[in-house]
Amino acid sequence: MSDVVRFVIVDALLVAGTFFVLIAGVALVRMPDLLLRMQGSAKAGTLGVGLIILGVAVAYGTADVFTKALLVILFYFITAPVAAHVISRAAYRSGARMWDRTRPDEYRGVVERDIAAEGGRRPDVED
Amino acid sequence: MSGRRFLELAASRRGRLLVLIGLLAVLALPGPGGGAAADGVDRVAAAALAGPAPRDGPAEAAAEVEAGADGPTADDEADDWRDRIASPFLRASGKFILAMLAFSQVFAVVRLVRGPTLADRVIALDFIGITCAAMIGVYSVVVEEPLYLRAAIVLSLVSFLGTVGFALYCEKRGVP
Repeated sequence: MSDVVRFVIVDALLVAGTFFVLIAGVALVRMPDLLLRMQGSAKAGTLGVGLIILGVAVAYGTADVFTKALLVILFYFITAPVAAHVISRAAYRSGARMWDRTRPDEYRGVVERDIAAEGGRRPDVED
Repeated sequence: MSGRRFLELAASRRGRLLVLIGLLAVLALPGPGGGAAADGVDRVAAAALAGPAPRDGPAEAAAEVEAGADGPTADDEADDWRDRIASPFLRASGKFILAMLAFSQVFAVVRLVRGPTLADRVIALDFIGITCAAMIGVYSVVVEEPLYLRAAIVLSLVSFLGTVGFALYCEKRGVP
């Protein structure tokens, strides 16, 4: 692989990753709802950091750096969906307020059934 | 100015513009020897990787002209920008890329301050961790030092643990 080709690939990966991370930051501020903010920052941020770390791996091109970069990407791609799911589930079940234009809300019935099964111990989900 | 007045100012449209201008001013100012230190790290890493010490501008240009007259094998040894890790574009604009990542961190800090629920603040903290790993990656390429990736590995694990711990707290206590 020529050095110029490597330079172009690395620069494109780093700039694209920075773009996605910046988009995720904008979503974190501008989205109207907890769940929308969560999906914006989790998906776009994970994609951005994955592209950036892949750019680092291509830039060095040696085996140890490639292994470390692959490890970072693997950790993020495993942990970020789990973290987003866990925090959004906890927030929804403890009564976080959703956007009033989010129409299909299929999880509401499950949560209300669980609350009824536990004897109404959990706090009510707000409208 | 009280803290609440300050937060309201920082959240208003005019306050956001002021914060933006202040950050640009801080980025435009040369730090106290920061550029020289970064250049020193840059040069040490380049010397460790490439072997021969980097030459000055005119001598390098003259050597390049001579090598181009000689042949391709001498050409590859003469110009040192081909053997670098970071491209000339990245060495020129790495600071700008890091500034863009820092802007996304500023957005996350805004959500961390304003977030109505605890889960909003946890998401903002998680995103700050992600952005830190991205900045570590870009900085590792710019200063050509691959050891910084270990910090990114540690960050990717620790921020996940913090998020899961806060989620358990949210669900046990019923705090949204």
